[in-house]
Parts: sequence; structure tokens; C-alpha cells
Amino acid sequence: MGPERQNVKESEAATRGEPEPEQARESSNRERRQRFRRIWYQMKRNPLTIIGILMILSMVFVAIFAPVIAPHPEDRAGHNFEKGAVAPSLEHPMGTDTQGRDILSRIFFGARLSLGMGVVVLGIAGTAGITLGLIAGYVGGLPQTIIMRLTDTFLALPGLILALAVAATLGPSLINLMLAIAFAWWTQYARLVHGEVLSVKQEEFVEASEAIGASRIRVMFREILPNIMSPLSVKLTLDMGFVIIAIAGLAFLGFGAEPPTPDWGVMIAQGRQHVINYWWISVFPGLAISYTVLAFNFLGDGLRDIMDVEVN
Amino acid sequence: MSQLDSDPFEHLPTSDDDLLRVSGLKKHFPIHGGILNREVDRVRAVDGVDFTIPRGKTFGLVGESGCGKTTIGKTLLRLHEPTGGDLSAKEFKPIKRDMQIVFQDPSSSLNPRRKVKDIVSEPLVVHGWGTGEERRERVDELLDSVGMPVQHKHKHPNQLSGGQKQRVGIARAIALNPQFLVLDEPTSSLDVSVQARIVHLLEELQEEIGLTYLFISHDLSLINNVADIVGVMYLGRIVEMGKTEDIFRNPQHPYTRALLSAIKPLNDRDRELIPDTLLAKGEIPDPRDQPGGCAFRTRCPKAFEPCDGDEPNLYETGDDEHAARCYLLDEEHRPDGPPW
Repeated sequence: MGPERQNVKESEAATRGEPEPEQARESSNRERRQRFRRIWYQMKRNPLTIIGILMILSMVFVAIFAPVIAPHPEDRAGHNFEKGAVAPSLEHPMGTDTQGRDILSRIFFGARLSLGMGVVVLGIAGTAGITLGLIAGYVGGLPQTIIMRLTDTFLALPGLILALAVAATLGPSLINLMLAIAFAWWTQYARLVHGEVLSVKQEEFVEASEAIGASRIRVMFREILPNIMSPLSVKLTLDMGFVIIAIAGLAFLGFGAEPPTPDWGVMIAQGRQHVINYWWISVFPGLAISYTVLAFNFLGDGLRDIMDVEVN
Repeated sequence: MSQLDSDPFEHLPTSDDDLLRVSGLKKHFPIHGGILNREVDRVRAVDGVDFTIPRGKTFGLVGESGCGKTTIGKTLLRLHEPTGGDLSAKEFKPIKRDMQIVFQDPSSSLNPRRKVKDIVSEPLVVHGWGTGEERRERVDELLDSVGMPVQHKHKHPNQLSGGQKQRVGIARAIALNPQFLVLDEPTSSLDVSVQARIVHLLEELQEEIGLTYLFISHDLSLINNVADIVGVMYLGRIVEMGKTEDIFRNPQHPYTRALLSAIKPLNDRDRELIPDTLLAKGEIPDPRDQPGGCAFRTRCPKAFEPCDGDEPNLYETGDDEHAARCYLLDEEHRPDGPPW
């Protein structure tokens, strides 16, 4: 045993000369570059991802700078009843509605509303669903049974109908609309997170954290959650499109913004009676919705391929 | 360890020196089934285990996979709630500071999403140790003491080799200066050359900070190198326990002999250590469906009538502090003539 031990000590000393500081930093930089290159390669193979990102960036740009870039006021100040509905022209690229307001400007402002509401809805539904999913998956036992049976119950009802019922009960307002959709949506995240947690919690780093004495909250949010972000971010991206459709749909039915607000769903509803004579009043907001949904779907699909995850 | 060769009697476990005493430890995993999800059966992973570990020593736990050795380690750390039994370690104030674990697979035991420095400082953060600056210094110190170049602290685990990952796992385990480490097959997922270095590191740390180890392994030659005391486990019980040299020189339980005969000797000197070939028959039984009496009797080439009856007690073998759970050692039952 003696001589063997000696050898080990020597080889230890010889091989412990692992990378020098500069080399280590260099190699760390190199790995970062490699990772970036891999993502870029994946994106190039999947150009729709890049198109999706560009489309979303254009939407965000329009939403942020709407007051600057909109050619006309979007609200009552833009009323021009004498002018009425004018077909698309140079002055009004997407025409005007029956009250003479510039559709393009209203769509720009509507982007603020749609994106903002989408983010809020996903924020509420995501926070609730992720937290409950983490508890169900990690704690198990009775909380798991209660939470998962609850999501099963929600699953039995079509989401949009449920949101409609809740919105109708709460009364029409932007906030109620968002709450209603979030209420119908959180189960998606609870289910996804629950399933992912069940597999991640088998990993030994979760036990290691428990052995250290970390609290359950810390284990759930610091150890487990970061490891399920890939499927979660894909799901959230894909859902952004669906949520925007849901918001527009309920607004169309009159459960969202009140008329002067430039909401895309409301705009479609307003043009509904005139769709034969003044098609542009409804069609352009409709195209805006399609554009947004398509953008998030492109990005979501791309992310799914790049991160190589299964959602649903 | 190596001191044992020079003076085997100096390190006899005396009660004052015992860091950890485990008696009657049981861990049963219930199996739920049926419509009402009631307990229909249970896996007796650990079924009444007693041992003590003297301060500064290494207790080696060996056995086939599924015999419950890892469950013992995890139950000691309360990663599993014990079904029964008693653990006394009076001096451990907050138990999770004085007792830590190094896992088998460092790729799985380090969170891939966190950097080395965050992984190593996690115990410090959880227990509110020091200020941010002090913690950063402690991380550097810990990485240095496990032989990791400090600049690796900004890396993620997947950028490290297996041996480096295990060093990070060890650094995390010793971050809060524990007294006792459970080493759950700490080298079995590593390359052979790296294994030796990790074992050497663990021995160094034991000397430097006076750690006490529970070293779990299925590798008998490794256990022979590192352990002071060895417990041989079979189906949730310790079937033979004694000082390492006694176990390897004079194995008494047929199961221990079977395990030893499965080692391939490197040279003639080692070959002498290995008893006459004695192979266990068949496979390890399903722990849900254990044979009554002696658990090993279904595979034991030496099984005879009393083995079907009650479970054998631990019988002294004649060596100091060396006992085995086998009727062959019982004066009443033993057939005529020497057992072997």
C-alpha cells in the first residue's frame, strides 16, 4: 500500500497543474463563444426563428414609440365624422373608421394594449401556475392531489368559455378581462411545471441542497426552477400568441376595453357591420393580430427546436 | 487507514471516542397501491442496523447494489425519515452543519444551472455564514483545499471533468466544517486514475480537519484501502462487522467470503488474502420478498437447518470487535468440525 500511495501523491502533484489563470479565462471565453455559435447555427437552420424575433421587435418598437410614429391621434381627437370611413390612401395607409380615425394609428396604439395585456396575463397565470406546479411536484402528497385534481377540473372546461364566464361575472373592464384569462390559463403552467419537477427532483443536486439544509422554497425556486426554464420559456412564448387572440376575442364580444380605446378586438367588432362596404376597418386589425400571433409562434417553435424540449 | 497496520489496537472503538452511534436503524419504503392508495407492501431497505463510528475514523459499508447501504447514508442525514431506530450524535448541534454528504455521481449532484462558486457557497448562504466578502474568500479557500484551481469558480459544472466535479462536491460538503461526512460511492463514477486522486484527497482532508467518514462502496479493494472498520451489508442488515484487517484476513460470514472471492487478485500476496472460492448462488432476492430466517440462506452454499428458523444474531468470531450474523459461528448449531 505504501509505494502505491506514494505514486498517487506524485501523480497528483504532476497532474494538478490544471489550466493557468489566463488559460482558464480564455477557455471560459471560448466556451461562451462556442455556445453563442451553436445557437446562431441553430437559428440559421431555422430562419423562421429570426423572422419571429424581428417581427416581435418591430411590434415592441411600434408599441413603445406609438405616440411618436403614429401619423394621427388615435382617440377622440382623431374624430372626423364628416370624413367618415375613407378607403386606404397615402394619407391613411389603412383607411379610417366610421368616425374618421386613422386605422394605422389606432393599430399602433393597440399594439401597446395587446402586448401589455398579454404580458400581464402571462405574468399572473405564469406566477400562479409555476408556484402551484412547483409545490405539487416537489412537496407531493396532499397538496399534489389537490392542485392536480383542480387542474384536471379546469381542463374539463374549454379555456375560452371559462374565461368568458368569469369575465361576464366580473363585468366588462380591462382588468377583469385579464384576470379572467389568467384564471383560465394558469393550469397549463401548473401541469407543465408539475411534470418537469417530477423528473428534475430525482436529480441528486436536489438532495444535495436538502442535505445542506436549504428550505423547501429555496430548493424549489433556486435549484429546480432554473432547470425547467427551457420548456417553460418555450411554452410562455407560444402562449403569448394564444393569449393575445383570447384577449382580442373576448374584447370583440364586448368583455374588454370600452370603445374609444384602440383595442384590436374592439376595432374588429366596430367594423363588423361595415365589413362589406368598408372592409379595411376590420381587416387591418385582424391582420395585426395574425402578425403578432405568427411572430410568437415562429419564435416559440424555433426556441423549441433550439432548446430541444417537448412542450405539452 | 495505514496507521492501522502499525498499531491495530490503538484505535479500538471506545465509547468516549465514538462520534456517531446508530442502533436499530430501520428504513422501510411503503408501496402504495389499490384504489384507496393504501400501503400494500413495504421495502425493508434498512432493517435494524447497529454500528458506531469512532471519531476521526472511516467506517466502510460494503454490499451489492440494492442492499441498503446508500439508504443508511441518506437516512443518517435525514434525507429519508427513519422508520425506526436511534441515532445519537450528541455533539451535532444543527445536524445539517455537522454532517454532510458527497454523492456518487457528481454530474447529477451539482446543479447544471449554477456556477461553481454558487454551488460551493450555497451551504454558507443557507446557514447565513459570514458576509458576502467572507463567503467569497471562503469559496476560494475551499476550492484550494480540494485542489481545484480557483479560477474554475466561474465555470458551470458541465465545463468540468468528472474528477473536478467531484472536487466541487467535496468542497461543498466541507464548506461548513462538518465533523462527519457520508461518502456515497464517491469514486465509482470516475475513471480509475481519477479515483485514486479523489481517495487521496479525502484521506488528506480527514487528516487535516479530523473528519469522520462513512464510506459507502461496493468496491472491496477500495474499502480495504480506506476503511478502519468495515460493515458488510446484505438485504438491509449488517451481516458482518469488524476491523478492516480482520474482515479481509478472517472473513466469517459466507456472504463476505463470497464477495471477497469475487475480487481478482493482482498478485500472489493479495491472492493469499482471498478465501477459497465460494460463490453465492443466483441473484439477490427482491427486498420486498425476503426469505425468512437468515436472509442469505437462499444463496448460501453453506446453508443448513437452523438457517430456516429465526434470523441469526451477531456471533463473536474470536477476533476483537469482529462479529458475523451466521449460525456457523454458533456453538449450539454449528455442525461438527470447523466451518470452513
